[in-house]
Amino acid sequence: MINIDFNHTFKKNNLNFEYKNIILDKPITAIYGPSGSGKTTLLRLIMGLERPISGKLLINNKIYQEKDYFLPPEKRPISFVQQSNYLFPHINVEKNIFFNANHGYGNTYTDSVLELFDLHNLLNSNINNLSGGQKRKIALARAFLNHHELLILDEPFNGIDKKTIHKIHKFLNDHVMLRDIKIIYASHDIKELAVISNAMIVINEQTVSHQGDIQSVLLDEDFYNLNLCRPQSIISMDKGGSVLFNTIVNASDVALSRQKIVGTSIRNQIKGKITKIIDIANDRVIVKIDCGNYSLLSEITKESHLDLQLATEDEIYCLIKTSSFK
Amino acid sequence: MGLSSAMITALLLTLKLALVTVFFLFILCIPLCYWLIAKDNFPRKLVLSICTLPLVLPPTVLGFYLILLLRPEGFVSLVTNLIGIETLLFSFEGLVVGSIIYSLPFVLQPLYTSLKTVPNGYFDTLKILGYTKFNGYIRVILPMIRESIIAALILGFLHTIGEFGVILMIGGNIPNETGVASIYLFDLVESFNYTQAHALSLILLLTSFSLLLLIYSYSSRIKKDD
Repeated sequence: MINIDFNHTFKKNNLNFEYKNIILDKPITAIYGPSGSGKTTLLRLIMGLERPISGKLLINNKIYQEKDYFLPPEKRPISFVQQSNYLFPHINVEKNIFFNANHGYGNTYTDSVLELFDLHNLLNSNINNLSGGQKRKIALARAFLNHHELLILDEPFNGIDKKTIHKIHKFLNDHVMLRDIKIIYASHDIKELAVISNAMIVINEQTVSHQGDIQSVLLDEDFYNLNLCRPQSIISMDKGGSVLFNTIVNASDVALSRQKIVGTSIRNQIKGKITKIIDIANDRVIVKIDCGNYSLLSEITKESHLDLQLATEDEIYCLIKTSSFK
Repeated sequence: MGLSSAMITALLLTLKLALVTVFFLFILCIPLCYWLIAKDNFPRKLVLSICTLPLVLPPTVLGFYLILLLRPEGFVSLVTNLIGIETLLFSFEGLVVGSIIYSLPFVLQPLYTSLKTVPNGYFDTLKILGYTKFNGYIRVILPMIRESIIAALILGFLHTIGEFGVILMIGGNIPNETGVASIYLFDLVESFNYTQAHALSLILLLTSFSLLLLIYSYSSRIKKDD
């Protein structure tokens, strides 16, 4: 478990950041927020690259920071993939990857990391001759091979193709399971985050606006009223323990029907019970439907709402095209 | 057009002076730069300005203050008196002190500029990877900018060879002690020995030119990844 309590002000622009009572107890926590909201600042505070005016940081009950005590970043068992790669141009790929690493060759973990990022054939290459995506993979591999109890990823997949991202997501899931580490994963892309995260912290205007497990944050009216992203819900595929791959469904991709429809190409018709109907902007309505293990959000027009005469407690079928699963 | 033994003595003395000067400048500039780039505040700007002064001051002004500093009643002599040396004026050691001050900006400036262009993210990355700040500076950042360091040292070396005014004022022209090539050349011209003057000038010209060419062809700018 990680407990965080920071208050920080940058001298040059007097911008104040408040991260109060953050508790990370799930294996993978997403940090979501618009650009400039203060995601990176929170991550830098955890790493110890910024020293907060006041604050407390505990990882597994060990104190990293409290009152006058401040453990310097080089002593923290944290790996941090920054937004830029910062690879060392004067040494080759291999030396960059194993830079001060505590995992060497011949180790299954090392091999799996090199395999994951497809780096076996690049080891002797010059850093300056590589593509942006390859450089990103090297920066990720370097962080994975450095000792850590906590892995922080800040917009980690810039320049990496979808297929590889999917492979990395799988790897991260195994990684947290096998080695009892935690991951903090920050991005402005909620779909990318939601796929593997268990919990979510929303940072908006330099403070924490929401935190909790990812389903409940996404279903929170206050959250989608912030208008940071379109309303969406999650069908979580919890395969026991913490291994999980979530499917995100845009509220606008969910249609509603009173009856089960026959003779339609829509494969997914999920029966549920309406728990809430919320008016939002642009003459739209969000209907929250309890489908048993999860809840879905459906965004429909006010007209359809009136036509269907929806009310809470009504039973309803949610129609989702399979192609809208992300 | 043979080289006289006097000329060879002058050239070897010049070489010795330039190497000793560059050695001390290297020792001095590495920690100085570490301190200079750590923060951006007034004391650092003050020190940087002072260290850059020799670049713009007339060598005679510099020479004059060095005389005040090194003369038997001067501040430096208080220290050297302890080891039995009355004054550093008109001695090789005095020339070294003068040259270090005179060539300081030529080593410090390129080194400082080069370090300033290393993105802060590299220093953060080193901390993340478990290096203390100083350790990361010495073991990673300096090797990363090694081409700039070599270029800075060559500039300092060449500038020391080209020194004239300061040496004239604090060193005089004592063979094998303070009679460096530039001073010896002045003597040759004054005594109308144009053949020898020509030979010495050509040696100095070609040395400087080839080393500058080396700097520019070797320093393939490091592409920093950010």
